[in-house]
Amino acid sequence: MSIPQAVKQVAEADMEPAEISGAQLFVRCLRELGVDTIFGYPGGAIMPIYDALPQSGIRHILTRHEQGAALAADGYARAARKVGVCMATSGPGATNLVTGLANSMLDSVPVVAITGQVSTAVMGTDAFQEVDVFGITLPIVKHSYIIRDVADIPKVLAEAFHLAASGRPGPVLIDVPKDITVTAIEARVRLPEFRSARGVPARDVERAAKLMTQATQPLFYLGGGIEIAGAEAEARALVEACGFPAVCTLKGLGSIPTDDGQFQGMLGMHGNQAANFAVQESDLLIVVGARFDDRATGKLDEFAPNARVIHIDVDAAEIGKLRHAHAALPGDLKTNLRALTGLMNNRETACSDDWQARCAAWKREHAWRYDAPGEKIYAPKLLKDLSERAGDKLVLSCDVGQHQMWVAQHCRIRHPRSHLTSGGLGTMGYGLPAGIGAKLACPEADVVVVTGDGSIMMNIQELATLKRYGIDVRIVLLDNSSLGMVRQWQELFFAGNYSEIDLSDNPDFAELARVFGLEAHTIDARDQVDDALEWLMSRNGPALLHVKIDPQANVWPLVPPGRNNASMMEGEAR
Amino acid sequence: MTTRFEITLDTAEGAMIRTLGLIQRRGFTVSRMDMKSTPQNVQLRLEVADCERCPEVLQRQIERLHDVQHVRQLTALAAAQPHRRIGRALVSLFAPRPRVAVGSRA
Repeated sequence: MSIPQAVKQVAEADMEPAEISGAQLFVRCLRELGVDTIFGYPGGAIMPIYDALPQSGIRHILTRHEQGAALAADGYARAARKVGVCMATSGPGATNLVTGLANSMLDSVPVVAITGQVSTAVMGTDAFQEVDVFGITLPIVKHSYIIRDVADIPKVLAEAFHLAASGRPGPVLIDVPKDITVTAIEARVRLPEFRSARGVPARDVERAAKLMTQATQPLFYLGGGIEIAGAEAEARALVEACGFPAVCTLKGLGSIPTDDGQFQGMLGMHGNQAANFAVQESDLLIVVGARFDDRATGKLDEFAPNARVIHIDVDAAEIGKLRHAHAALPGDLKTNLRALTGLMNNRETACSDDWQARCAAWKREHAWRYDAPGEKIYAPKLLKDLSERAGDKLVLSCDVGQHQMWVAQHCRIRHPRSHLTSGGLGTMGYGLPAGIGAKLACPEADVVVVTGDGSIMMNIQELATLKRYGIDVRIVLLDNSSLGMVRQWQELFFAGNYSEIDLSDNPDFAELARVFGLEAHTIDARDQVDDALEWLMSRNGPALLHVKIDPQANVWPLVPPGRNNASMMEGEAR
Repeated sequence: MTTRFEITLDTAEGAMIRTLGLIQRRGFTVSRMDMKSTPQNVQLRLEVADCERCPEVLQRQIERLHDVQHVRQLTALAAAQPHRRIGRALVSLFAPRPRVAVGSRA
């Protein structure tokens, strides 16, 4: 090393201050924890952290509403399979995160939310923009912290990221009072390490294998926990080794490809007959990463009445919560699935040819049809064509409503991470910000947001985020000029008393998108669909396809509320 | 039926309210509570009156809270019953299950 270089290095070391602010320490810790992207919105109490952010190398995405930030972090986490981070100021900034956190909690998504807080000296005095976000969010986070001492920053952050991602993932909130962020502290960062316990197969694995060997009408019931655990390969190996048919929940779609021969369909309220009949007739349900959600089971007392249950889930608290398990495999999903596959690989099973034939017959007899009469655009066909045209790089980010169910029913989904949907909370407004998060997490993916005219307006402001950062997300907006799912229920279960569902005064969505700087196109006839999909997928940047569909179109089939899954209503396709 | 729990918590902000809130949200009512706080931990002794739900599941839900060190279900005040779940029609299918006496952290 030359003398001038050595002098320079000593000089630089001397320039490194012995102390830095809590905010600077906070941001350094985020970097050390591998954070590369934060979705957020600045404001008073969080300003010191924003002050430290520009020099950090962390990319900040300014959403136009804090709910957009929370949902984008959710989409980022699902697509990247790592912790998503969102940030907001105290008071309204913090409360605007709440829906997003609840969404991540219900769907077990690892998110860390950082909120500014008023200084500790004035906490509890109703100070300006003070709200007890710690208290507000207690039921909807996996864990939460208020940092009371600047020295706790590294420990709290390291623990928060570990908790968010480990076991059954979920959101963790860190509330940071302003005085903590401006207090000086030693510059050196020491992050404690946390390690997850190694998985060991549950003791019941032999019992589970025995039940699987003896069952004559066995059925796999695959849920979102497979995607969360990254256990797709292990789940597929078990399904393949056994040869049993398999149904998926909304969030489990893609656990095995939807065009796989063993895939029987999606079960539940808007599942298909082939899946629901198979569940009702099965004598053994092998439930993997699912929690007997009421949208999947219908009337619980009458759900799969003849079936024994093997329940495989990372969360022991889900075992026996709603349905007794005759064999329970709590704990690490990959470990348990591998152990079970190991046992089943060399076993003959009693699964009957008659059962396989009946399942195949249900699939054949109740296959989706795409020959709806008329000239109006048939949304299920458009979505099917979209998913087939886009190929394996497609990531669908759905909003909530009829279009969400059509995507689940009709789109080709080959991997669970290619289908982002708000399953537990059913958050209208999820699709666009989640799509933004997914595209930033996976730039190589073709991210398409499927939304409705109700949902898009919940977070329409995020079109500005798309434009600002040139995020290449395509949007298919299915416009039925109403809150379609509510209208459908009012038609069927409230004697046609349509109450507050009319959206016929919607803005011109294509024009609105252009105002935000996006390319946009509107179609309203069936013969325009092919060209429009070609147009959408060939754009070089964010674009919106506005699709006007029949306002009377319903989602079929439908299990009426309070009925069992065999009681499906059918109606006219339009 | 009333079930007694002994719960040991970290001495951490929000630990007790988080635990009590969970018990309430899961459909159980706290009918009696004793609390002792030390610098090392917080000990709760609770009696909860349940609805139709299974206290063993509640125990596992409490155990997964990060601040919870230990949960122990003490003797139930009514006679032990078969494992129950929501859904009366299928109850007869289930064999009686022994109560879980001691819980450990999940």
